[in-house]
Amino acid sequence: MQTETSTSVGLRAEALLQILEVTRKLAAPFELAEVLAEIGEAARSVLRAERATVWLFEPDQGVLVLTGGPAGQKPLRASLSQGVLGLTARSRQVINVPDCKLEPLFDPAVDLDVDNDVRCMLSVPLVERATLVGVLQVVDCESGLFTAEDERVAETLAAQCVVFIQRERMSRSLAQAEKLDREIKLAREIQMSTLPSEMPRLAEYDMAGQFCPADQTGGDTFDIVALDDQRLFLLLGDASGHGIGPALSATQMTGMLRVALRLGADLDAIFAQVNNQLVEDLPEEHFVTAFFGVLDLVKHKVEYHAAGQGPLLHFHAATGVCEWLPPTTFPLGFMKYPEIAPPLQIAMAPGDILGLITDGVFETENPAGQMFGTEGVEQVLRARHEGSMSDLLARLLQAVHLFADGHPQADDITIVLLARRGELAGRTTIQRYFPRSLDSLDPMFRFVGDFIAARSLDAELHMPVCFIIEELFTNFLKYNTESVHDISLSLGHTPEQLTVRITAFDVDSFDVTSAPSVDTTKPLAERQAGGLGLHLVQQMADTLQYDYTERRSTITFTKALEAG
Amino acid sequence: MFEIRLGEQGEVIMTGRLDAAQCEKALQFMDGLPAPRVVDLAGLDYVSSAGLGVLLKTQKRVMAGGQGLRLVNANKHIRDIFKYAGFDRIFEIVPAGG
Repeated sequence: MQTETSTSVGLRAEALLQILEVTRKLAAPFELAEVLAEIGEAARSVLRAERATVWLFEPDQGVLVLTGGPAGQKPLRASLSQGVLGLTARSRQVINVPDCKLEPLFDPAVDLDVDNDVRCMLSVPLVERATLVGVLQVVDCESGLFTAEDERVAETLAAQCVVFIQRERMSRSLAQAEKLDREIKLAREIQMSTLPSEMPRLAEYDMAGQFCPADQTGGDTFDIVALDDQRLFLLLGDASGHGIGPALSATQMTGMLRVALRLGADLDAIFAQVNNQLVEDLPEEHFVTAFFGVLDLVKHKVEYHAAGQGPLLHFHAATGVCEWLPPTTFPLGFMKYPEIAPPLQIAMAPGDILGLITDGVFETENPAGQMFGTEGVEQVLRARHEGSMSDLLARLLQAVHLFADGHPQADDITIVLLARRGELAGRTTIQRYFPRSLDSLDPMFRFVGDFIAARSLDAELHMPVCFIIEELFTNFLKYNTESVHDISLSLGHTPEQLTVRITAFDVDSFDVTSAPSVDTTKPLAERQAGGLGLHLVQQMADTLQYDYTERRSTITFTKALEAG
Repeated sequence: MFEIRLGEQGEVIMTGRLDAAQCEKALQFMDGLPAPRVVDLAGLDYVSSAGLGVLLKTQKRVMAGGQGLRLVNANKHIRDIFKYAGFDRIFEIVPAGG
């Protein structure tokens, strides 16, 4: 007994010091092979043994692997059923074999009896929180037998080694992830470089498009190509998959499209050919949803195929209705289309908006797990559709951002907006919808105030114009309670006059210009509040017109502007 | 924004915008006063026909007791509307400084 030099856990002080020395060495960064060699050397030295080897467990394959043999030699592999080695791994117990020749489980192939002269062996599991990391085997000690104390020394050493092996493995996987990150980043840069750098400037259309990449993976793309003076090609795509794949698929599709357009192919041919090529090129589980459309700038219609891409937004300016159009067929890259149905058409009336939006927008989640959805898009659109498309786009992105409330962006977000300018464009007209509620009065007044201020019109107009608008608006509320449609208010001006138009949809006719006038000279007892509003409107407006078509009531009034 | 309150002399003070969304609040306040006399409109920016209705109803009620409302300090726009509505015949309207 060496009680005076033993520690409280019963280890020789000398052994403990050696273990600490190993720990210190291993704390410096090593390649895994170096770590394993260092552990083997430490075990051999501490236990005064001939040889020590470290097997690593590969959980994916369920085998133990021994590397670090002579250069060029293949790593040895052992199953968990083989030898003392396998038993150690299965049982996670230290196995002390005093005489290998008498041990029935001993297997020279895996227990490394290379010279056929192994006498004793200590086989120690390397375990971290019940997870098998590997097995340390030490053979032939000086004294001829491994003692119980040797077992404890080996276990202590093993516990230290596990930490370093795991650290090496972790930093290795981190380095691999970093390499993948760099590759993805490069692919993403290429993907973004194919996006149009600016939007075409068109007399009758206003366009905006933006791509907001998610941090990691995503495969959105869009493109706008002028075919000739009359036609514009529109592409929006969203490639599926993870890692580097989607960015490459998206880039590939844009490339194919541009070549096809240069060759003068028509919409249907391009659609079919791009699909066929993607079927051949994409891995089986990958696909691309895409919108292929051609806008005719003269006929004001968009012909399109939507392969799994939807919903598509068609905002009808005349009614204020957002129509959501479904895809026309399944995504690109699945299979060759047996036949191509003729493209569908969207007719663009003045003020109409076509919105191509990838699912990253609709599927944006807030921390409560709710989705932005088509409702989120509609809300922004109703308030902002009369402005420029770049403004609307910025508002949409802002709304998505606010909605997410810090929840990370999981997918690429791409929005392309195309608006046919309103018929009053160029006459500085703006228009907005207001819900049928008295709560709309404040925002309406602000709308008028902003319009007057922004155009430096006579500020004195604000009050009478608001007065007339309030009377007409509350009149719509009072007499057409059935209608659920918002009320449209448009403001426009020429140097001579301010024109205000207020329209209610799906309502009965009520001609305000023929409302009975009120005798304002009657004594108090005979006076009624009712009817006074419209009477005053007739007094205050310079001109007042009423139009009723297709259950739509439109009242237009003007106020003269001071010259200069 | 619309505010209605009593001033130090017992006058009713209206400020802000008296529109259709606010007339309920104004009418309730006026109905709570047994005999309002002076209505100070110096801070009132806007009135619509719904607001005129509040004044008209209150005037009918208080005139039954003999004395009508004095509408004081209304701005030019509001005085114009009073005039179009014939209020100058049924209210005592006193412009600012009058």
